[in-house]
Amino acid sequence: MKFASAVLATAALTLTACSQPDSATSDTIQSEQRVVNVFSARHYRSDEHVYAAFTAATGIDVNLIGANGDQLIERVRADGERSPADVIITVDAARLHRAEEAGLFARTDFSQLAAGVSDHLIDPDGYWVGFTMRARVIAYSADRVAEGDITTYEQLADPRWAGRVCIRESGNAYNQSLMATMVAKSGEEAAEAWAAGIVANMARPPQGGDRDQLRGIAAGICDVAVVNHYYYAMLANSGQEADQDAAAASVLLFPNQDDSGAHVNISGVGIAANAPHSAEARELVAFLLSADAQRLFAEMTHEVPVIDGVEWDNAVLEAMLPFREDQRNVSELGDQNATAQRIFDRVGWQ
Amino acid sequence: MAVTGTAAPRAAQKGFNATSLAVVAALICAAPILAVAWIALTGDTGDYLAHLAQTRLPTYLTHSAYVAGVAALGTGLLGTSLGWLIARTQFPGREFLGWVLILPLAVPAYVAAYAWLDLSTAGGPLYTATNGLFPTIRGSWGAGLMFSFVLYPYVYLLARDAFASQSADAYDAARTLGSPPWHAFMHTALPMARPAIAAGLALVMMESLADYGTVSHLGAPTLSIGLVRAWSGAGSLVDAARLSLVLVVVALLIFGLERAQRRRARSVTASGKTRPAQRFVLRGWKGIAALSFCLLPLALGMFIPLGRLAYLALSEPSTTNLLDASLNSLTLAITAAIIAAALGLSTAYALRSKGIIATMSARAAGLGYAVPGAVAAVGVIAILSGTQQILDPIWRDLTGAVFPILLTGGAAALIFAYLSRFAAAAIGPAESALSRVTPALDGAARTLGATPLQTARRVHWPLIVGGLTSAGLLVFVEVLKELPATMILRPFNYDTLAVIAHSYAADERLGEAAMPSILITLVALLPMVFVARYLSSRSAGGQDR
Amino acid sequence: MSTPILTIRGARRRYNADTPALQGADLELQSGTITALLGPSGSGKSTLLRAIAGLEPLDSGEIIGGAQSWNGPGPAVPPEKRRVGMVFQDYALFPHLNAIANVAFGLNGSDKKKRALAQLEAAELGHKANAYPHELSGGEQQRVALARALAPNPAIVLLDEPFSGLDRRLRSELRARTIASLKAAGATALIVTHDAEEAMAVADQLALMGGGRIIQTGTPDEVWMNPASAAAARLLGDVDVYTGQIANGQVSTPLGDVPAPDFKPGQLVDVLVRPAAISVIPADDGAYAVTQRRSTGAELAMTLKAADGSNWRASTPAPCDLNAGDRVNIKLNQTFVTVTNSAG
Repeated sequence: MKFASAVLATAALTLTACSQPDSATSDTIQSEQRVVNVFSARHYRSDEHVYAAFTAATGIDVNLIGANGDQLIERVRADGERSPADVIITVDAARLHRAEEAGLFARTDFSQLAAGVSDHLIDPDGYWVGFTMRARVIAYSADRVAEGDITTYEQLADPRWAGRVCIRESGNAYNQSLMATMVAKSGEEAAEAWAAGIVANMARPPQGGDRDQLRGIAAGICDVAVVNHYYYAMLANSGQEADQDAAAASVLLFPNQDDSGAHVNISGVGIAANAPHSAEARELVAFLLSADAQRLFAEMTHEVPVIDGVEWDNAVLEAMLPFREDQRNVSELGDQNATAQRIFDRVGWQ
Repeated sequence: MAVTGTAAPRAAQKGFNATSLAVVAALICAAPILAVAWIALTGDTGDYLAHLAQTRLPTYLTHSAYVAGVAALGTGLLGTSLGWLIARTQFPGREFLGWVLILPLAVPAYVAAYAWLDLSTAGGPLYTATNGLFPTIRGSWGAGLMFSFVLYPYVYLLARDAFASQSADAYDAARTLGSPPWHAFMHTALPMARPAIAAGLALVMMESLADYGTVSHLGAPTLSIGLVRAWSGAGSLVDAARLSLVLVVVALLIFGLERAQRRRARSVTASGKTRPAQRFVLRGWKGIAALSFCLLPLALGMFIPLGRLAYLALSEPSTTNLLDASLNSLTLAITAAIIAAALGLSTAYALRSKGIIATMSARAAGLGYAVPGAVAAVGVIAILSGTQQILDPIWRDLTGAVFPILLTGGAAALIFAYLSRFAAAAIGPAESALSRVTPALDGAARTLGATPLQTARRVHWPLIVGGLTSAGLLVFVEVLKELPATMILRPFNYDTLAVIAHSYAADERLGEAAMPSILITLVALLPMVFVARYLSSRSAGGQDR
Repeated sequence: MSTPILTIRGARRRYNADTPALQGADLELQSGTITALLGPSGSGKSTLLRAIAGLEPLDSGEIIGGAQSWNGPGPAVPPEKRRVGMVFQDYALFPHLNAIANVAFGLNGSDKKKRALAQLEAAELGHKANAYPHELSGGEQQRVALARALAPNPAIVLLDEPFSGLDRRLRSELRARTIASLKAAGATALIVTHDAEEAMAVADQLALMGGGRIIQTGTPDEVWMNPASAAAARLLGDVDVYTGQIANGQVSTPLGDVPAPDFKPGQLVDVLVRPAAISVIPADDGAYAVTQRRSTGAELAMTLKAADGSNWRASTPAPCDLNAGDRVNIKLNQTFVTVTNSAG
């Protein structure tokens, strides 16, 4: 059966070769068509438009591979030196931090590229930069909760909210980062007590995503929920009546406006350490931080732009701003991520 | 009884060495798990596992057991009763339903989960229509329920064939000994079908343990979730590998138990001639009741989920271009199916020689089926990047250039993972297809002057082509539905329908997830119809006329 | 005349439009007797058996067990209530239970294991009580099946070709055991078979079946000596049939004249001649030619050709010097010749 083995081997090699990403060696052959290889954990419709606009503006094609942030990191790490990734984009600062720890990023001078971006949204070591911002806020029932009844994250653990809190599962990156902030603010012990208090207050075991928590308030299952701000905006701007009703049933509150400010997270981008097309990568980063892209993020995904002075049109988002945000550098979300996860495990937050 | 010594020359006589291909198949299937085991056993020991043992591990274990238990219970009850109705009774529509009942296998469990959760969640139609009375389908029991809806055909098929081929006289004998119908069923027909039903249940439990898409969507904290969390959340590949080993051990236990009870029950196959069973005719309201009962699983597993998704797809039209993804899904599935069928056939041929290597190879290949897609992907990555690290310096020394191929970058890595997981699924059907080629047939052909190759072509092939196609199509459907390994290993710009559906669903954009989900199911339905009719025609063959 | 333990009247059953299985079968079973139901394949024997057991319904007709009508009016009495035991053709032992569990299956009460063991020991299989069916030989399986059927003390035991599938020597030994077990239990038994020799060996009463009907009943002696028709005669052994017309109280055949006083002149009759009826006398100028000869051990079976060209089977005790081509004369023994109305 040597013949068959040969056929199998040839087929295998052909298959592998056929779908190869562009690597440095093929650059010279295809020097006319510039490409940039993007490993992105984002999958919003706005991104498709942004990439299309980028290609139109620069003539650089975008090769995209989208996957869960953790899986992207593993993939790039496993590919090592040979990794074809040019930029890595995640939806959460903790993942960026993890990618940085794994040595996946090249140190970049963002002083020019990210001139307009606040310092607390850029990695102090220069490995990555945030290009959109999202706040994790509290939503409360318009009917059953009075304004001022709840104003801080800490109050969520209060026994008065027993059986009235909806929040998603602990595996979610946004919850982990919120917990990381609590650890950074109050220390591990206090943060664990806070988490235990929330678990005791849950109206139901964690299920669904952020929008499901809002729907939970609308259905009367709970009175307060923790959501990313843009999910609320998505429901409010949705074409479906059921979604709009769900949004109308809640009021959004940006917590801790009197002290540390609302917890924020970023979608961030870093240039890969072994990027085959680093020039193109820089151009992409620049484009993501440009007014055109920031406008698309604000209008289509309801994210908060990181550059000042961008003109965008989104009434619902407009109504939320301005708000006081936590000035802690978002890289701390990554520092405390492991601790946060362990706290979740210990308090039994599913 | 065959002595290895005399069997080996017979295999060599065949003119091609099937055993070596069987070994290749075994290596492909088992290698990723072995890689994972290696990582698990040789990696650094942090305190993560200890931490996990104190906190979440009991939850993972109990919920995995819960999911598998509910799935086994649901598929057992549903599959056995359907098998009995179709095999031994007569009612309007029985023949049609006989093969249509197999179709829900084409629906991925996670697709059913998307639809049912959407229907029953707070704010969904079932919830509002019943004022909150209808429970939200989620968690471990919800996941187990979804598996029951779409995996019952495994048990149904095996139970049906067992009931159809067992001696009907045993049931009649029990009646003459004073047993009323229910007692006779419970004490004769059912125990005699037990090996077949147990085999089906083992399959169901392994699939539900290995699943990721359904349990993650419904929030069931099973071991496979914990595994992915350990890997991606805690960033510890070694600990994830260790948890994978736990899963593999559990799967091996199920495997082993099933084999053990099958060996004990070898005595259960009826000795001597069996009279083909006379069907119990269900007239009037009984016939209608039977018909309705058979339509129920079709509604639960196919019509309702697909209907809901169709509604969602129409109300939130998808803007994504699904054509490329469809082609990708098809290409991967067809390629994997063909190779898997070939590997399955070689292993089946090798097993005929009853050599020890062949048997061990088949067992090793079966390991792959026990493993979740994510674990297979981890193993594949480990193997390929390890190979890459060995190859690169050698190539550079030899040629001075970089080795042109990134092993993990192509579709071959994905096919590797698929074969590891699913090739074992082709071995069983290939074996049973090949068993129709008796040694007597072989002897007859050879004494009539045919060479081994001619025998294979003119005698074996026509007899096995149906079963082999069946096996290939089953692998085709599995690859079409596969999610975790695909997500991790796929090349650039290379999405499959399953990946697109999952990323939208995970992002709560069910409207966009609906269309690819429906497409997966429809594309899987076509081959499933072929398989269903083929399997039904073979079982109905001599017995039920 | 005691009430028969089972009466069947006019049983009819049809499976599909082409072939009716039972076309009006009548039968009576007396308590404590063994009846053999003899007929070719497809004559409806198994169907009748299953109808008696209650495993299949009748389209019309009556089955009366003792004083109770089993198949209506109203719902038929289900099998489990009829106290009819059955030994199936493939024995139908429960493969997942060992011998003693099989035998105990139809028993209730805390001592059922003991009673089952006693039954097995009566069949001389006590030492195999824990064996599974696949570990038993064919003969042992049959004995276990019989023990199982007898254990609950049924009123009637039905046996469907219980000795087929076993080799010849085993068969006769098993036959003897089976009859002994049945007699010892005082059971009423109905044994279905297609083997005439077997039927005659076991039966107190013989019932011949053909075309879905019972065509003759009686003791084996009666039925063999006085078959009711050519069909009945053929069921029991070799017979040659000559159709002729009654004239002067007899019918003229190529073998000579056969007296038939009970028939009207001109009536068409079948003359049934058993090989045993023909004694051969070697004669060089004999009227009959030997066309075939075959040894059957103690006898020689021959085919004779008469002057009119008709062929007749004869047998003669061995040793015999006759060969094919020799000529013989014959003597007709009227005991083994029967005259019946012609079947047409």
